[in-house]
Amino acid sequence: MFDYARGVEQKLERIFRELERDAAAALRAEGFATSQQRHERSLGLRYKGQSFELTIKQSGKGIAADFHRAHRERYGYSQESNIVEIVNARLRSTGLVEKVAERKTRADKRGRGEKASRVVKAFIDGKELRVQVYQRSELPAGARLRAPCIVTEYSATTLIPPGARAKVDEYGNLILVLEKTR
Amino acid sequence: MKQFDPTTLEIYRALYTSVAEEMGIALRRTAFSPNIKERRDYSCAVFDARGRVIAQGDHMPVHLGSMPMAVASALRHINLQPGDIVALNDPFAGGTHLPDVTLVMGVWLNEGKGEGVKGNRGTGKRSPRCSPLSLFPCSPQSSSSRTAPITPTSAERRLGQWD
Repeated sequence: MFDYARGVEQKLERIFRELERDAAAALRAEGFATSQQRHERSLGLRYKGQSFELTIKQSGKGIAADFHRAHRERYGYSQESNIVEIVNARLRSTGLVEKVAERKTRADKRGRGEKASRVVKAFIDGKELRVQVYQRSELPAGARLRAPCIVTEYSATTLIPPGARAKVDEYGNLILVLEKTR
Repeated sequence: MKQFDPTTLEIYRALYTSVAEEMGIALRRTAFSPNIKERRDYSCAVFDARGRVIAQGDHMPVHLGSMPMAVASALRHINLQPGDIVALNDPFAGGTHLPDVTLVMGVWLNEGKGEGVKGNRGTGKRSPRCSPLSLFPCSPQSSSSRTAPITPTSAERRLGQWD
């Protein structure tokens, strides 16, 4: 920790360069080329005498001016005559990954009805019914399911209640339209 | 009296309590006195325009219990205007021990219509002629060394008059 004074910027520049060097090496070790890295610098600042910092990004208008403005925005006032303390220098480094492409689900061109994997007995609203059970991964895009039925998958079970309509969209989402509450 | 369903009541209870909690957080995070920033010897609450408690922070019972009397005293003596803060520590005006200074400020919503009042109180605001950060009024033997009570009728009540 040191008081704000001339020459601090150069010292901070050295500290940030050092942090960026370490972060770049760590990201490179994980397979991110220099062009796939983003480094964001920020400073933890407070007035001398306070115990809590505000984390701010430098705008280039001067550290103290940035802090006075941030303190005014956050707390409603600033103390221009007080000393601004730099408590820490932070670097947030991100490895940029390509966005996963949206994958469309195959459509069933033959347009035949969905095949239930099995039929089970289920109690719905106190009534015993025989309902179809579908495997979610087997459902093609455009499939329409007749309610009531059950859709199972590795991580979830979806009950499509009587009166609802269910359809599989081109991305494999299950779109349910529930009957209006009577 | 307007009736609230339990869900709405709980949402508003949490909403106003969070206001008092956030007042406390702002006070602590900006404080210079160890009594506030380390010991957390402060309390905040939200009142309606008539000075009735709406919500309290999870703070000091001794402050919160007497704060309605301090707010009542402030409202009785001062016609609060936007920007005004009433400061008091007089035990006969809802104060506790003299180092506790209570600040009462109005909140205006809907273009100037008075809607509520908030108060906060904490130990450690340096009181006149008292050693810095002391928790007790100074030596009672010498009247010149005693902490002076601030009442809502003291002259120093307009925000602009505090440095």
